[in-house]
Amino acid sequence: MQGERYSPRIQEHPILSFERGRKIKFFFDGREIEAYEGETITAALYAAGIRQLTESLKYRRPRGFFCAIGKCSSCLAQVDGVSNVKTCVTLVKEGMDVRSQKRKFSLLGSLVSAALKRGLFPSVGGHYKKLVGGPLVWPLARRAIKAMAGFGEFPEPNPTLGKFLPSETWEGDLVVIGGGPAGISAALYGAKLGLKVALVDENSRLGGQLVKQTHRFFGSKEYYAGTRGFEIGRILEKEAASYSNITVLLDTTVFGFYPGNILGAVQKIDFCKEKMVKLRAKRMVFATGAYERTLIFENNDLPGVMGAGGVQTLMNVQGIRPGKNGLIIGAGNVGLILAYQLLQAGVRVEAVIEAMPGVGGYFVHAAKIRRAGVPILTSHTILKALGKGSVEGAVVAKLDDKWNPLPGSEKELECDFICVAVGLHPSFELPYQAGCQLKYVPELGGMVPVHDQWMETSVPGIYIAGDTSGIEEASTAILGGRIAGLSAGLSLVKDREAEKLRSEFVKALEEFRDNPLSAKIREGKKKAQPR
Amino acid sequence: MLEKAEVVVIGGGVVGLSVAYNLVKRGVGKVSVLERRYLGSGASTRNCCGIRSQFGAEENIRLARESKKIFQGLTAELGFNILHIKGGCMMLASTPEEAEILERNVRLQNRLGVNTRLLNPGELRARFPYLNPDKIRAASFDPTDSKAHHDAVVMAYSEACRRLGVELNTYTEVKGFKVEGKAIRAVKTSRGEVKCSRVVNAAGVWSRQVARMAGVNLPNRPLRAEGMVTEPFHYFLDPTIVHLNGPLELTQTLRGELVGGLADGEDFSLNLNSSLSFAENFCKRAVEIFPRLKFANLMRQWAGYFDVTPDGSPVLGPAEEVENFFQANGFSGHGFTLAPVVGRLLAEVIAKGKATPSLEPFYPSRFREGKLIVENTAPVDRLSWASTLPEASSSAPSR
Ligand SMILES: Cc1cc2nc3c(=O)[nH]c(=O)nc-3n(C[C@H](O)[C@H](O)[C@H](O)COP(=O)(O)OP(=O)(O)OC[C@H]3O[C@@H](n4cnc5c(N)ncnc54)[C@H](O)[C@@H]3O)c2cc1C
Ligand SMILES: Cc1cc2nc3c(=O)[nH]c(=O)nc-3n(C[C@H](O)[C@H](O)[C@H](O)COP(=O)(O)OP(=O)(O)OC[C@H]3O[C@@H](n4cnc5c(N)ncnc54)[C@H](O)[C@@H]3O)c2cc1C
Ligand code: FES
Repeated sequence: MQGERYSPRIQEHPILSFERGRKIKFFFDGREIEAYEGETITAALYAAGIRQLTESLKYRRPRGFFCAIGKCSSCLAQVDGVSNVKTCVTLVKEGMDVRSQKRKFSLLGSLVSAALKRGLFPSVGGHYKKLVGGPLVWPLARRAIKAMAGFGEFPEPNPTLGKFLPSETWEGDLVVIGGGPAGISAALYGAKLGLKVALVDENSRLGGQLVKQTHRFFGSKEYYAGTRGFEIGRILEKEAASYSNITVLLDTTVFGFYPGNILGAVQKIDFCKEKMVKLRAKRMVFATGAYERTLIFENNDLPGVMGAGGVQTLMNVQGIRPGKNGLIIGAGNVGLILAYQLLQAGVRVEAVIEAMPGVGGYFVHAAKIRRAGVPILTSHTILKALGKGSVEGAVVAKLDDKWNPLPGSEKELECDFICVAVGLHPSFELPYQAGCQLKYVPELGGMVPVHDQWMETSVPGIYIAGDTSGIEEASTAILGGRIAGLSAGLSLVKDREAEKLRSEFVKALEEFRDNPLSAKIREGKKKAQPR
Repeated sequence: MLEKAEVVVIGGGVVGLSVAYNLVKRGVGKVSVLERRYLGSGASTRNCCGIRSQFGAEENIRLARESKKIFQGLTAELGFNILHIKGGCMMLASTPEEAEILERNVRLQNRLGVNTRLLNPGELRARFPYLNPDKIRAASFDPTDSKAHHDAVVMAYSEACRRLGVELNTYTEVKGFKVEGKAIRAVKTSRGEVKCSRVVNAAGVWSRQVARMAGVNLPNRPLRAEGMVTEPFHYFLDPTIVHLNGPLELTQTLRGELVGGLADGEDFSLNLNSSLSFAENFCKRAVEIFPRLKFANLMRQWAGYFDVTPDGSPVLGPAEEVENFFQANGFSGHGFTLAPVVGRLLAEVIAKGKATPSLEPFYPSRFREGKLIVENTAPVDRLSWASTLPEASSSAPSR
């Protein structure tokens, strides 16, 4: 596989097949680009070798995509006159006019940017204290600040765009936010108890993380172990579709929790065609998963430095290779699996870098990539990314036992992209808005809503499941989701059978975690219990 | 915390801080500010940063005109950049009634030396191509109106206070007063008691509750007003745009975000949770006036309150029932504009112990005497002024 001639679009893949739509053309900064219907703008541009989409506000550093799931805003571009479009979640269309949001050259702006880079205001908020003297200082500074402000032009009038449909209200017993394994399971078990359920996800298909996973999952047979991730997603998706009392709302992002158990959401129908959806329910399950942590190193914002999930989305969903030769930071399961997936897609992996003295992920995953000849450099860290405009290499160094880089151990590695796979953090904003008590539990990945064994948070009627309740895995997400769905249902209807079933699931979770590898999770779950 | 202060100021918002700063500057002795949460946690950092004198009552226009002058030099005076931008303010009217108000106000403002102008439709289109001409019947523009960053103004005053020795007590809630005869002798707080000879009530929308603890009845009513910002765009909008209906407000910050707000109804809960109905109503109304806004994304929203009086004008000066208890509240949505001048005038009154002519019309006694000011740009008619009103809840805000 490693020998295949490089072409950005994956044609043959041992596991996945990519159905590309009609061939179309669009424009980037006036240049004609070929794409296929169904591709995102980011993906099509990436395939055409374009990595920089915008630049940073203050220092005008080049920016490319990072997360590929609409969470980080580093892929903004102007599309058909509309500024600040997240190109990683916008599908390309015939004739689209996409423009990078690089600022027009202005002498004043460049001077200020240069002055800022030299540390004109060394302290945060320094401009409040420095720009006070003399009648000329502020008027001049104000002009400079205005010249630098903002991303993108205020949108041009475009009469053909911007259809906003009347808002819609959904009312029922249970809203589940997040259509990953946890959310789907919660919806299914709520529906089994006869509840009227809405299952909401921002993507155009259900499955969450599973959609991107090509490997056979671990865990117990009952919870789909041995099946490939994306296939588990499809099985669950089909099951959800078989319930008439589950309304699935796709392409729908929940943006806020409001008093009175109301959620505000936006459903995307087409580019610049959106609908507001208000969701009101007696019970809610938040199963919004997690997002990726980043790592601090020099040039970590260079286009080509991407989140592991971003690379997976580009490669396993869009079918586009992230580059020719990648460097992976982090040898946990995600990093190791990603290395293997890159090899599957015909991409070379220069090395996997791990700061810990040992590999964090499962032994089998590590063995698989070592067999394929990929070095895993433990007790190593990345010091900086190299390259102008996009990644051309990296400097790594060995760490001593106090985690300091050993002088003289620096070495340059070649690579044209870098994947940051240093762990996930539970996504907690919605439960936080709902008033759920949060707690910092490092064993579970960071801030988590406090929750009991029935997955209820400190706010009665609000439940969580999956990675939102602690970074773990698919089988536990499924079990947690089932428990949350049943708990929500049992608080509304009486059902002895369901109560028994729920106790069985709780026991199954305990058994599942009853092994040395899950010691950390057990500890974390104890800490996250309400007092 | 001090056991004894010359003056205690209740409320660490822009008004309380301005009063405290001007008091120590005049050398009245020890000044202590008591703030329930953090400085600026009330309306002072939740507003839309507009500074204007386009009012409908002579007293308010005069006051605002003076405040605008102080804002001009505030950065230099306080040694802290408040990011002041003189971009003007445009008031918009859609209905014939609103248009009439604008026309009447412009005449009055001109008479008082404020150079507001009515823009004709041609001028409007040329200068503000972003606005929807079909929705606008009349527009008045004052190029000397301005905006400043609300956080910066709060920080500027609080740093100056600190420098001059004002004691700033945060997370210190006023719980009651020790009143003897017609005077407050001490203020009871969650952190103990402070003896004092004078007290200023600058507790924003909570002023009515605070006043009641001293046996003083204020007529003020809470009007919920919420705000939002979009993602930042390249800078293009210097003026603040205010539609009389609401009021609805929109301008751009120096980061490039469009910041806007809308007052949307009586709410005695005084909670600071933002609402979905604001997001929906604001977007609908703002897009009507400013069609291209439909391509902008709302990034954050927040809630606050206007502290509205029956005549839409502030309550300034000593209470009738308790003579050493000075009011600095009831700003009815204009407290950011008026804070600098109110601080100055009130400090003068407190220090000298006698009234200034420009402040007298705002004395609390005007409501009993029936000498109302009648400000037609304030949303007074949106509130119920019946005598049997629910008690404002005294619980702390949740956000
Ligand atoms: C590389 C990799 C390999 C893995 N390998 C394994 C393995 O071998 N075995 C295993 O058991 N586990 C594995 N996992 C872990 C497993 O995938 C996760 O633990 C599991 O997917 C968590 O499920 P979830 O439902 O909590 O979250 P997710 O699957 O992340 O689903 C959350 C969903 O909610 C949506 N969402 C979030 N916010 C909103 C919002 N505001 N509005 C609408 N929708 C929203 C998201 O878009 C997403 O679709 C792996 C994970 C990764 C990244
Ligand atoms: C959305 C919105 C937009 C606005 N736009 C504008 C505008 O463009 N221009 C303009 O001029 N004005 C505007 N305003 C109005 C302006 O913000 C207020 O009039 C002004 O901030 C009032 O300041 P303040 O210091 O009196 O009140 P606040 O800032 O509310 O301060 C009162 C303080 O008192 C404290 N407090 C309350 N009770 C107690 C207690 N018991 N003990 C101790 N402390 C207590 C509170 O915590 C609070 O910090 C707007 C307001 C809102 C909400
Ligand atoms: S939002 Fe598009 S890459 Fe993160």
